[in-house]
Amino acid sequence: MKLKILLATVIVALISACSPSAEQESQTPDQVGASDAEERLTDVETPSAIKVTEASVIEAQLEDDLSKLGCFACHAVDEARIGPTYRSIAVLYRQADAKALLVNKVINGGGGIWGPMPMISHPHLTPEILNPLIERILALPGE
Amino acid sequence: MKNISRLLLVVSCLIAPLCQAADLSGRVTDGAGNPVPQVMISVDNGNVQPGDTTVTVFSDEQGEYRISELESIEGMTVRAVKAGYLVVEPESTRVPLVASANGEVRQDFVLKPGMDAETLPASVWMEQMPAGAGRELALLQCASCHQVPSRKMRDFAKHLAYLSEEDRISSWKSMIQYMRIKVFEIGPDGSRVSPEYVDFETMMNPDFSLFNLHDEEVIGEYLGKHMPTDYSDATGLAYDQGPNLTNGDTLIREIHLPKTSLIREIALTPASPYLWGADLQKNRLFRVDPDNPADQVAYPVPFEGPTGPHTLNDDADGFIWDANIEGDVVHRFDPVTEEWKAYDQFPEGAVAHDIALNSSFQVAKDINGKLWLTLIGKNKMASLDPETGAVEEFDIPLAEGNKPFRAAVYGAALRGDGKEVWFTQLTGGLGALDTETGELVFWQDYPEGKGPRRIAIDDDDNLYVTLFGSGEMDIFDTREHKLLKRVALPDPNAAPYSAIWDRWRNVVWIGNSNADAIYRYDVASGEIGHIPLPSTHAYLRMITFDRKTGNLWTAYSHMPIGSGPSSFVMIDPGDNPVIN
Repeated sequence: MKLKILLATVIVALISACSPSAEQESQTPDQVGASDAEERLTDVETPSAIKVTEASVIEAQLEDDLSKLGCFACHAVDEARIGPTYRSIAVLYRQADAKALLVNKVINGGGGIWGPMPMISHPHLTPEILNPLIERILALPGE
Repeated sequence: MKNISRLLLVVSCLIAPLCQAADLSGRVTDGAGNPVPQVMISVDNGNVQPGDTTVTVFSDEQGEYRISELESIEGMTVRAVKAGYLVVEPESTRVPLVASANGEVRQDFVLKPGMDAETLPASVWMEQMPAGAGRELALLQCASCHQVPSRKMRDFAKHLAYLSEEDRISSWKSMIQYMRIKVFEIGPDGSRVSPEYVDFETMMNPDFSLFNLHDEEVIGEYLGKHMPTDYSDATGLAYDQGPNLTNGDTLIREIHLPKTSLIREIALTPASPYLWGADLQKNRLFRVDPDNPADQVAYPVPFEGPTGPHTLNDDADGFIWDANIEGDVVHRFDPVTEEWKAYDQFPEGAVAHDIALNSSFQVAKDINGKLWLTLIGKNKMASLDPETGAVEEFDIPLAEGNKPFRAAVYGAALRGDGKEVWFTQLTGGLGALDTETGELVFWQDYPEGKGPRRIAIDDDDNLYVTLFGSGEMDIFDTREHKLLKRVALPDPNAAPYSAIWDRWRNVVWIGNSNADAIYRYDVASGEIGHIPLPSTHAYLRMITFDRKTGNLWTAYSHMPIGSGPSSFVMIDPGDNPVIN
């Protein structure tokens, strides 16, 4: 559990360190947070697990964007939660040109694919909001 | 912008007879020519935006109704609703207002008996589910935020139709796990108790949650076994909210508020001509001019960090008191000078929920000049010196195995002599402290699921305690420390949130979360009736008064944000009370 928190902190810190705005400001709270995370990183048993490739940054960003809509309660890129992982959704649906189907499933809810638990409906979300996010989920690598 | 369009409207009205102020009238019959009384007739533009108003009246004994002094009929629509009836004529639900050649605006309706699934309150769906501990706990825990079943609950339940009972139960249990997360999303903008700051495992941990493992077990099992999976047809359901108290003079005005706000409570004081709302989402008070509802002004709470104002009450000096869900601070606001005073000596994590009210339903001082508050974060009571801001904490009982925040110490009332403060706990009981010593002088446990919530006290020191989970109300004699009476409210699934004693009428008003109606309990006769509300998902918490007119005011605050109407609501019961 602790490892995951630290990983998240590190990834967020790395993303902000890469962004131009963070480079411009010399003593920002973000940077204080980053050095904090680096210090605490020595506690982690398996530092070799942290490989921040470009793909993982993209995935963290996707998870973050989806979290803002509340999706994280049931889904993560790779961590099994109440619902399927984004990566397994990508693997199942990316061949099938299923974008419209998935948008519909998010808005109206539905189930029967991953087990008995149906997805809750999200009537306040629109295809305009969901389309680009679903596209990014379907673009996740994996087999 | 709104003011400009209003001005244009006034100017155009000078030249166009179409939009002159008008009276709308009509008659409601049953098709055989017999009058149908107590039909809700609502007028608005059919697509209400913040600042717009919906006006509702009720047909009288002859089936006649009249809405006077409509500013304009242009773009306005009218609809008729009565629980237990379907509208036969006209065919469309909303009818545009049209003036006849002589300038008269009339719209008649024909109704026939029938149940309309679209306009019935959530509670009717619960009625067919078995009573008992499961239903009470489900109502207490789920209807704390939204109606049961809400639209999303119904959507979810529909998908369970073809599953086995075992899978339905496991699905509802998963839903409760999901709600552990959603609880962290209901804080104000910038909240520290949010997914942004709390890690996933902590949020999912039943021991840190408002929904513990026992809740998951009991509620999941109950909903899995009994929750209907089809909500399209309401035939055969029963609508019973007791006698309908409306008449031809009853008037309801819904003033619509921004959907991005979560304005859960309203306060009025004779010192200010405005309506004041607590906007939990946006960390601000929200001011609305009742005579010009498009005039809506935000007053951010002056505090470093989020506050989430959620409880709002006036006092005898014309101040408005604001208890905040975050920041461990309580504010006093002067609506005349617009000056704030912060009381920030509360201990960390205290979360003051309610300030004890007196029989005038106002924030009041005890015999030593102190205020009393419930600290929902710590399961404690606190006294507050309004002059110095000094806070003193006092312990109250906690059942073995329960957590302080889940015990949820909630409502509070001060006895007339100022010597005792009474309090409730949602999963706990009812108690009283001696205000001079802080000692517990009365305690009564409540069975799980009863959920005693916001309480009121009358001039005889009788205390009214609504039981949210079981739809009852207990009346206690706070002088003798004994239960006088348990009253079964008309609908056991109404989720009665609050009791408010009304001195002018000697009645108790009850704000329901799950019935789209308020109740009136007549203290002398013991009779109960209801006033239906014009909106569905009309989730109520407190009711308060316009102390000049005796009209009632409340607010709709269905959660999460945007899932129901967001409005201030004025109710003139049409009973012409004597106000003194």
